[in-house]
This record gives sequence, C-alpha cells and structure tokens, in this order.
Amino acid sequence: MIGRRDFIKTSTLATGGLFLGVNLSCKEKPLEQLGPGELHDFNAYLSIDTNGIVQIANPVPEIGQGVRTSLPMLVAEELSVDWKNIKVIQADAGMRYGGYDQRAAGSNSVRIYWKPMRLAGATARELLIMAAANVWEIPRENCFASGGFIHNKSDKRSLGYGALAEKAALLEVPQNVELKKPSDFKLIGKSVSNPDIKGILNGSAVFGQDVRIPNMSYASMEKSEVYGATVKTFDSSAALAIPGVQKVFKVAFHGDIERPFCREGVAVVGDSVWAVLKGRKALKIEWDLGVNIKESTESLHQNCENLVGRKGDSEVKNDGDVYKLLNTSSNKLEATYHLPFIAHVPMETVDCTIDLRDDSCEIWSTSQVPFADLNFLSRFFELPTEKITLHLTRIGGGFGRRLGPDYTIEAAKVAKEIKKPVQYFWTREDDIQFDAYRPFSYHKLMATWNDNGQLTSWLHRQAGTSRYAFRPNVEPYISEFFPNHFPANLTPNFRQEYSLAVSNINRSLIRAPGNNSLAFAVESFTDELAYANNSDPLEFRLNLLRDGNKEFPFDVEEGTVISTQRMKDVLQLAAEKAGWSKKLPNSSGMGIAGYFTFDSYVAHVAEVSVDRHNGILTVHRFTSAVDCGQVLNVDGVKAQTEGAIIDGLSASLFQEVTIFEGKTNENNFNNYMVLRMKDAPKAIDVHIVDNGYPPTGMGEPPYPPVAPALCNAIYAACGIRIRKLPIKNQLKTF
Amino acid sequence: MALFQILINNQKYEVDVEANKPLLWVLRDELSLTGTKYGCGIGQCGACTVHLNGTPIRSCGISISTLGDSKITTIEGLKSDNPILKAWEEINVPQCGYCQAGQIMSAVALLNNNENPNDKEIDVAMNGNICRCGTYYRMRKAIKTAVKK
Ligand code: FES
Ligand code: FES
Repeated sequence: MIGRRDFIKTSTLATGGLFLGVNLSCKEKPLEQLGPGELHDFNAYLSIDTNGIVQIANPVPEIGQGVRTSLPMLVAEELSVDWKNIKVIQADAGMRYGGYDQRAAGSNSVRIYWKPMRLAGATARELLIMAAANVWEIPRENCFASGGFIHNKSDKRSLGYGALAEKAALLEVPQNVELKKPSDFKLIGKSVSNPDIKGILNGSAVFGQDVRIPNMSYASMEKSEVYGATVKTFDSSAALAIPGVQKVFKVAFHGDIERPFCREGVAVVGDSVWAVLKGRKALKIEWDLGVNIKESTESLHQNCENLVGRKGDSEVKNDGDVYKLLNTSSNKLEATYHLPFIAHVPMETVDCTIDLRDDSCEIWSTSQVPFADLNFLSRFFELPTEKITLHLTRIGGGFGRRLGPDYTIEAAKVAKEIKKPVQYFWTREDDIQFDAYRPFSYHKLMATWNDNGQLTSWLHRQAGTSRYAFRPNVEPYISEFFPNHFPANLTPNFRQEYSLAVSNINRSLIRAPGNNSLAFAVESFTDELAYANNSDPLEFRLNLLRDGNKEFPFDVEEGTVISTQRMKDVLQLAAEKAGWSKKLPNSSGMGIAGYFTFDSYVAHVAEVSVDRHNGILTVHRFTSAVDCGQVLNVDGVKAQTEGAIIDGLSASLFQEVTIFEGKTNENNFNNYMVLRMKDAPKAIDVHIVDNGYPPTGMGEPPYPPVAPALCNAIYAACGIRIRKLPIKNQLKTF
Repeated sequence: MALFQILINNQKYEVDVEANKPLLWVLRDELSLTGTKYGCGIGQCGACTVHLNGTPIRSCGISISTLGDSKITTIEGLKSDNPILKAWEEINVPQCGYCQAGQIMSAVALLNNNENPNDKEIDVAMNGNICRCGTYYRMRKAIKTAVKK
C-alpha cells in the first residue's frame, strides 16, 4: 500500500528553496490501491525559491483553453500565495508529468487535476507552516498562511515563504493534509490574469512555428488533393534549382492505402519557409489517384437521404414501441436535418520541430496528446522514451486537429531522412485539404404527443460517415450517438437508429464530437415540436424535463450522469437574463437551446434579426447560462463560452467541406470562411450557475447548443426553419 | 538573390534574399522576428499584419523589393505603454494568442488614425483579421477601452 508520503516528495532546490513533486497518476485507481510498481515518478511539481517565487509546471498543452491559468490556480489557492508571485512553466511530455493525462481533449484537464494540484499546494502550505512553527517554537495551530506569508496568530509576526522554503524542504511530508473548504477559496471562483499575456502582447511568446534552433532546416510536403493517391513519378530538378532548397524526396503513405493515416507525398527541405514553398510549387509529380476519385459529397447526400428514409441498420436504444405510436397517433411531426463535413482550421497550421541525433532526440511539439506522440516517436526512432525530450510549445489553437499524430509522423519521417534539425509545417491549403473532417450526417426525427401536449414517442434516425466506421469490433454509432441524452428517459417510447454511409473521406473528432451534430438535430426538432404544440419553446422544454430532479446514468466518455434539474436551471437562467418574453421588433426573434456534454450544462439564447429581402442575418446578442460545477477561473469560463459561440456561428453560417472526385474543393479562408468582426455579436453575456458540484470542463460544452439556438432564433424572427447547415444563402427568399 | 536594406522598428537590417520574397518570411526566416505570424499566405487572415509607414498591411503579400526606405513596424516594435496593449491586458483578450499580433497591429493603426472609432469603423478596420478562438467581442470592448485611455 502506498501512503500519501509516496504521493508527494520534497527536496531542496539546488539554489536553496523547496521543491515539491506530486504523483498524479491516480486516475485509473484510487491512490491507496496503487502497488509500488505502479507508482511513477513525480508528474507535476512546484518549487518555491528563496525569494518566495512559486514556479508551477503545468502538465497539459495550452491550446487557448486557459489551462496554464486554471491548473496553477489550484496550487496557488491551496498554497495561499498571491497570483502575481506565481510563475508558470510548461512541463515536457512524459510519465513524470502525467503521461496520457497530459492531453487537451475531452474537456477533462480540470476533472483530472482538480484534486492532485490542490493537494500539492496544500502540502507545501503545511510544510511552510511547520517550518515557521519550528522557527518560532510555537505549536503549528498558532500559525496560518496567507498572501505568501506564514503568520503568527499571537504576536502578528510573519515569515515569507522564501525565507521558509529551504527549512520546509527538510521536513517530513505531512500526511492527511486538509484541503480548503470552498467557502474559504480566495482565487478559485474569481478571475485571474493570464500568466502568458505579456509574451503574447509583445510577440515573444513561442508558438510551434516560432521555434528556432541552430542549424535548423524547414520542410513541408506536396501531396495529391485526392485522398489515398500515391506518387507514380516525380521530377525534382526545378525544385532543387531554387535557391535555398536542400533536398527533395518521396515520403511514403502511412497506414491503409485507401485510407492512409498520412498521405503519400514529396517532401521539400530548405533553408527557409519561402524556399520550401517555392520548391513545392516547382515540383512535377505524376500521381496514381487510387480508388477514392469516385468520392463526392453529392453522392453522400443522396446516400444519407435514402438511409434515413428507412429503418436504421443498428438499433442504438429502444424503449417502448415508437413505431406503434407513429402509426397510430394523429399528433405527429417529422423533420430531417443535415450537417456537413467541417474542418478544424486552427489559426496556427500544424507543425513539429525535431532535432534527431544518433542516440537522442529533442522535439518541440504542438500536439494535444503529446504523450501519445512521444511513444510513437520512441518506436519510430527506436529510441527509449528517456532518450527523447518532448517540449510543448504554446499552440495556436486545437479544436481536435492536433489529436491525430499524422503531421508528427510526417515530421519524423522527414527528420529520419535528413538527419538534421528540421521544422516541418503544413500550409493553410494543406490544413483544409488534408484535414480529417467532422463526420457528415443526416438526422431524421419523428415524434408524437398526446392531447395534453406531452411527448409520447421520439424516433431519431441518423445516417452518416461515423468516425468509428473502420474500427474493428466497434459499432460505428458509438462515436455519433449517446443513448442516454435527453429526451431519452423522458418519454416512454424512445428509439435511436444508425446507418453507416460508406465513405473513405478522412474524418476525426472536432470540439464536442458527436454532440456538435446531435445538438443541432435534437434541439431544433424540440423547437419545432414546441411550435407544433402552440407552446413557448422554453415552456415546452421545461415541461419535457418535468418537475423535480431526475438523474440518469449517461455512461459514456462524454458524461457520467445527466440531471433534469441542472438542465432546467441553465435554460431558465439564460431565458431570464435574455429577457425571454420581452417584445422584439418585427423580423427579430429569440431562440433557445440547452445541451449537456462532458458533465457540463449550457443553454444559449440567441437574439437575431433577419432582413429577408437581402437575406441578411444580424446576430445581436447571445445570452448564455453555464453550469460546469465549481468554477475555477470565472474569466476563463466566459472566454471559452464566447469563443465557442463564435466557433458555432462560423460553422452554422459558412462552414462546409465539399468533395468532388475525391478532392476537397475548399483550400483557404477565401472559400472556407470563418466568422469575422463584422458578423460577430456585439453582446455576449455569460452567466454562471454556481451549485457546488465538482468542476467540469468548458472547452467543448458551450459549442453544441450554438447552432440550434441560432437557427431557432432565425425561425422566431422570420419563419424560416433551417434544417441544413451551413445557412449560407438560405435566408434570401425574395 | 540581392541585398536589401530595410528599416524595421527603427532598426536597419541588411538581408540577402530573392527580390520577390514576402516581407512575412523575411521577418520570420531571416530576422527571427517571429511575433508576426503566418495564417493563410493569401491576404485573408491578417495574422501577418504589420505597419508600413503607419498603415496596416498584410506582410505575406508584399515583397521585399517594393519596400524601399519605408518604415516597418511589427508587434515587437510597439511601445509597451500603447493604450491598445494596456486595454488588451485589462480585458484579457487573447485565448491561444496566435492571431493577436495581427489583431493588435490593426487596432493600433485604427486608433492612430481615428481617436474615437464607432462600431462600423471598428468592423471595417478589424474585418481583415480572423480570430479562430473567437475573441471579437473582447477586442471590440478593448478598442473602446483604449479610446478612453
Ligand atoms: S498570412 Fe497574411 S493575411 Fe494571412
Ligand atoms: S486568440 Fe486564438 S486565434 Fe485569436
């Protein structure tokens, strides 16, 4: 059995001061159940130098979700130290720092690190108190910590952490350290400044593409627009004639030839990005286009429309007898919704810098899952992970794009070939054309209700290109449907069916995977049902959720338990703050949608107006209510919500990847549009439900309900029901 | 290849590059002034925005040979007490931060030419800059905050 003592270890800093390491690998099992062999080295740490500066190593990649603020806040809170004395550094990837838990995915950083980070801070605080008590020769109970000092209760004397750090390092680590009560929190639940802001504002923050190491080359790869194409022949002479181009070579595809994980291509290495870009243009490549030249989104539309027109291939959930109700009830409604492929387009295109030496390797990674990359690279370079140092740079956006190691594998192949330091990058064209997209889907919903307006049955048929389509022994619907999402368990007859639309187009996960499509279908249809019942859309939802609180197991990675009360609370709060029942001018309207993801609840009310003559939509305001349990950084929660609203509006208004003859038609921001200042709502009000539940993440949950809130508002404003995204020019009707 | 003398952030640099090399890549590859970012390379995203004699331009679309003795200012060349930077910090605008250098250069140029821009003018000045993290609401607020400073 392993006690707390093995969980936290201290030592003296070389420069004097306290070093405290924590073992965070307690996610799989409670700490008490870990055997000695399962205990890894410290995987997060803090140190306090003799000036009282607290340095905290943040284990999780920062992609803009604010994790370099929120996790260190937990330590600072328990340590009772001023935020301005905190210095955040970025931990490298490795078992030491959390291994697989070092990921910016699944909105789970806060869930994983909530306790261990606090325990680290609390233990350090306790050690400092003990050190002060020793100095003053008084009982520990007569001391307390606040603002970076240990205070003596009886005589107002105090000692700074810097002065105590070294003494604290020599003490035995105390067991059973008490964590603060939420009512005593001074930082958690407030807003703090971003520790990296200065570097961002003066241009010194180092993103992946800003890494500069001595003797570094740049490299990039020319690939076919057709997914799965292979190189027949290539002529590199013109490329090699370009000043600065150093080397040109073929890089073979990786994975299945029909659905390669990395596409085949011709890499160009040069002494500058510009040389590489020109070199790529000068290449002459003859391609074998392979089997995917028949792929098109047009045929997928037809296929999916047909598939949702009949009973689905898989039964995802079946309560009662939906078909009986649908055959007999006179109150019924059906509608079909569509969501297209969309691309991630992080602002910084993907990149990876590798310095491969004979017996070691140093990597600057922009991955959302750096530990997975570390393991892959260790195998690929045949180097033990101890010989590889993988640094995490600041990262220019993720959205799920950096979960797959495709670009890292390509970088590794290039590094192995040229055996010198190299920064491998994708252009924006590469980013959009060679992305793995959010799955394409169709959703047909049918429902019946009784004369009291109560829902009696609900059928949801989905057909699409599941991202799990090619996983062995896994039902493809697993990634696309969540059988316990509302209104499951709220209506006696409930059924979900899924049919896979076969396609090789590459797809993967994007912010709130599965949910970002489901929310649009489910929350739009709920709205349609409300109108069909002559019911107010908010009232209709509240009635559906009924009185009192009911909790149902959710039982998938995307959530553990779903509660009717918490959903009602966010809906009501958003509606109240938005002035839900207030009279709006003509051609204006409000729409509401509420959604549960990753154990967080979010409701948005959108207020829009539509100029039907010109088809111009103005999104005036979003009012949001979020319940993510205990809030860490209020400003961070607001920022994530604001960002998700913009992201959701981009997707709703413009974003669509279309495929013709196996090629992606879109290739840059001129034809794959992202929302700009002019179209962004001028008001976004985020309200937080504070209810004492354990903290949950906020990077993803506010995203899914954006599209339905918007489209429900459009309907309220002008009577046009958007059932296919993106909206593009569907509002121009005259 | 040819020698060019350029004036960046009040400092003279001499670079030996091809005449059609865009300023963006001169800054990033030759001078390691990496605060200016690449986002699209075709003038669509604004991540590469710098000032040319005070006017915001997209450095990915302007070649070094056309610069002459123009004065270039990049994010590294702004004074830290610039009201836009102060406001950006106060409102805590950046998320991932990647687009921000370009956004800030556009916003600084806007206020240099217009002491008190209205919403329409903010729209026009900032519309060439994409923020994939969606900080538009805060940027608008920060520009208005900077006006008051
Ligand atoms: S990189 Fe210059 S505008 Fe996008
Ligand atoms: S802050 Fe991330 S793109 Fe603007």
